[in-house]
Amino acid sequence: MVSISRSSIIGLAVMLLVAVPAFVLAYNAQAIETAELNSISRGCSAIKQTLSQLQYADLRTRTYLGSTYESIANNFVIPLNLRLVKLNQPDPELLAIQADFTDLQVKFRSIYTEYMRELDGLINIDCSSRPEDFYKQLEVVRAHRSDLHEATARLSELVDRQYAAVAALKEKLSNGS
Amino acid sequence: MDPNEHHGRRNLIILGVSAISIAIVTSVIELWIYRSSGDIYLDRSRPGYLPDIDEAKEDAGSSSNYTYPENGSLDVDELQKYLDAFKEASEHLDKIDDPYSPDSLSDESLGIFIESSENQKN
Repeated sequence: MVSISRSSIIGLAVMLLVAVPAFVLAYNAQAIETAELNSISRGCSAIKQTLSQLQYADLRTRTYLGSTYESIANNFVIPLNLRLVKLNQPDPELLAIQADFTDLQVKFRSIYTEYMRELDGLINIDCSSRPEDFYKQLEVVRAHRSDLHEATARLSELVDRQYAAVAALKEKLSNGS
Repeated sequence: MDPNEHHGRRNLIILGVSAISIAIVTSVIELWIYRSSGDIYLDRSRPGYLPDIDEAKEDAGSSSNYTYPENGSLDVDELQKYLDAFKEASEHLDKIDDPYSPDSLSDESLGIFIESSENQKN
């Protein structure tokens, strides 16, 4: 009897130790969320202005990056592989880079389109009266932006790989000759 | 008025109104498809669309005229020229530091501030 009541007390103490902090965390999370929504409602016009400026900056970034990627693909990556194939000396690494680069360019365009569509949707929400909807949409836009960020990082890596592969090819040629 | 002439005039008006209505409906559908497919975002971000000529030039990205010729033998000197031109072209990518960084959409960047609990109690 004594051991049962002791183990019950210990069990109850453990439950309280776990439950109370969890309750406090949940209460704080709700409090933070409410505070964020209030902040969105109050600062709606400033937030929308920031988003519009960001949208324009992103548009210019896409113009700049898009034309650079096109230039790299059409003036460097593809012509070199074509020449190597015509000389019957295809380089597997360079061919793989070209395939990945072309795929990523298409993916970049697709992700950018989705991102811009969602960002447009975000800017059109009236955040002063619908802060919760606004914040949910903001999370969606953040996810798309993260995908876009990853795509540009991978394209940049491929450019570095291309440089390294061509340098290795040049080294092989100069050692062979 | 001759009844035939009256009917002819009426039919002409109906034809005109119908043609204009069909044109408006198909234009609306076309614009809806253009917007929903996302092509509008790609077109708005292509070089040459930007309103300011200086912006368009600045945002044209790589302005290199170099193109590696598809024909010819493999040459060490030519590959070196390729590498030099490629480096110059790829440096355009470095001009934009961390494109589409997540920080631009953070709560802090957007001005979404969380008040401290003391301020809330006051």
